Amino acid sequence: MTWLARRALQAVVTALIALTLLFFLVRSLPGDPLAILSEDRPLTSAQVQDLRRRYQLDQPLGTQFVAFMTGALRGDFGTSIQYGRPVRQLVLERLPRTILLGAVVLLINFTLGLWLGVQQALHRGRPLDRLLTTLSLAGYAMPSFWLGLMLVMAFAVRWHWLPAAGAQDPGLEGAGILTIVTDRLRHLLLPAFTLAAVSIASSMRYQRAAMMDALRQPYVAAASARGLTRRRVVWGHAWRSALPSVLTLFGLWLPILVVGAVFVEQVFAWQGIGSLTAGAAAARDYPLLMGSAVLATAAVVTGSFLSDVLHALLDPRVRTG
Amino acid sequence: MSDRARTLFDAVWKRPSGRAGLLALASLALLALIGPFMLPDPTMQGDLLTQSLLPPGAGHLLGTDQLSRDVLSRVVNGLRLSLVIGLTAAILAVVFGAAVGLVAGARPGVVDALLMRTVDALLAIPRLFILLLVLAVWDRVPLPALVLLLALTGWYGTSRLVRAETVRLRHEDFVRAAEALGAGRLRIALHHILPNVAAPILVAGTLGVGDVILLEAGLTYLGLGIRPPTPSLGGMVLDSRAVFATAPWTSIFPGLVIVLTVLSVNLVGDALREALDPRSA
Repeated sequence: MTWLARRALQAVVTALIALTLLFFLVRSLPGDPLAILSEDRPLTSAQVQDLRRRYQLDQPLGTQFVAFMTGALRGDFGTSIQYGRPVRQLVLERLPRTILLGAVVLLINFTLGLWLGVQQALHRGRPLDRLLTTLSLAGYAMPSFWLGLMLVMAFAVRWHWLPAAGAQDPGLEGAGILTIVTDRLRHLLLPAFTLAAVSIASSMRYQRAAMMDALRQPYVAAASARGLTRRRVVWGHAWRSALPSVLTLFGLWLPILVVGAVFVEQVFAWQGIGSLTAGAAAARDYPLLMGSAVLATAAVVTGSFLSDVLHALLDPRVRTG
Repeated sequence: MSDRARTLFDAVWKRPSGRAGLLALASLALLALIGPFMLPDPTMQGDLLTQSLLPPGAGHLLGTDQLSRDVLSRVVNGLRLSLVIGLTAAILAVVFGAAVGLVAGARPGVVDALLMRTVDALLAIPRLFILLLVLAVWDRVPLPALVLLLALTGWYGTSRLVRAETVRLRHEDFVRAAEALGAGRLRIALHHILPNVAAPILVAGTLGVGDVILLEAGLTYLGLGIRPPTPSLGGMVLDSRAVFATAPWTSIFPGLVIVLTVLSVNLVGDALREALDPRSA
């Protein structure tokens, strides 16, 4: 079997085991989703029976499991309790917003974050390196919901520079394209900054370590000795050879983003999957929570698969093992 | 072992960031330990008309919240709870992880493969989502259960680490010598392998404390972790959302304490890692 097929199979198996674990986790819990559902409004036993049938809780465990797995693979997680609409529909509606936010943060982390990591490696142990390390660790130690709140307090409430929430101002239909784009960017700024601030530490730290390894290699010294400019040595030789291992970072970094998005989107009322999940948790909307958990898992498995594939493309040693 | 601990402490202390982390952590721990005895009851309410949302000042150093409770007292009590939860859950997580890792590493074949594939899958489900799913059903989760849940979702990394080390050490001379002398599996695992993986476990455990504190604060902020009236840092930020524009002190201080705590724990963890693996410095 080729390397790629093996790696793909591994991703599929991981995802299937993860789904199985999710199913049994939920079934083994002490609580009853229906009990919480009916907490404030007493249900008749007929209604409870109806709900049991609807969520297939009256079926044997094996049947439930098969139904769950086939549903999950088709993206069908039933109906949201809060919204009374199919989970899939809700998730698909919200997905573009989350992807937009995630792409911007990805861009910041993999440009600014990597650049800063390289600077740290070049100034290893010196004040700049120390300062950047401390700053990135402080960012990593910050609860994203709190940082978001603080930024809203400063930039929206106090100084009125930026909008506090949402993704666009109302009543901009018919406005010029420039106005709309500026408006979108203004709304994106705070959530993207918050999410980048709490997650950039991992890109910086990883790049710093990889770059330091690369700078130690003999060919880097040889390139310097041949009289190449510092810039060519740093970016053309050392950084290029450090790149493959940095790409594996993408797989490690995605879970941080997925989790961070839940809090950041909630704080900024950014209508994506993250705020949908936070709302589902607050409302004990079980089907919706399960849908977003499966989506998050799928994102993590796909992310780590893709980063491994990229790594292998750039570094053939990976493929031959 | 105490010599080793002493050397490790010195190595962390030698690093400026490690020393800063240790000092900050010691101050925070001291505050959490004795603060509650010197401050008013964190749940005590005064006259709502005259005592709520007072700015920081003489009577209340960090002001009061919308229910007229002392913010400083709530922050200190929240800090205490965060530290207790963080430490307990991180220690438990490391114990689970080490146990699974030792078993997987010592039993190549089916057991190892089964355990490690499960760990792969668990690593693929973001920790927060598992906790959200459980806590959404488990209304008003008791504190010990919350700690256990945080521990049960935090051991995967450690188990991989310990397994890798166990596999590496299994064929070392000193392990084979112990085998030849008739030592059983358990004895080899506990007396010969565990001491050699103690260092990476310590680093993982320390960094785990910060992760747990952040996660607990986040869960509580979403309304799923610690419930009122128990004072918690995440819960304070949640409560402050309604009033943070006019009374910023209600949200600034609990957040700052979270940042300070997690940062100092992570500084210590980093210094430990550098001390144990100089290459990463």
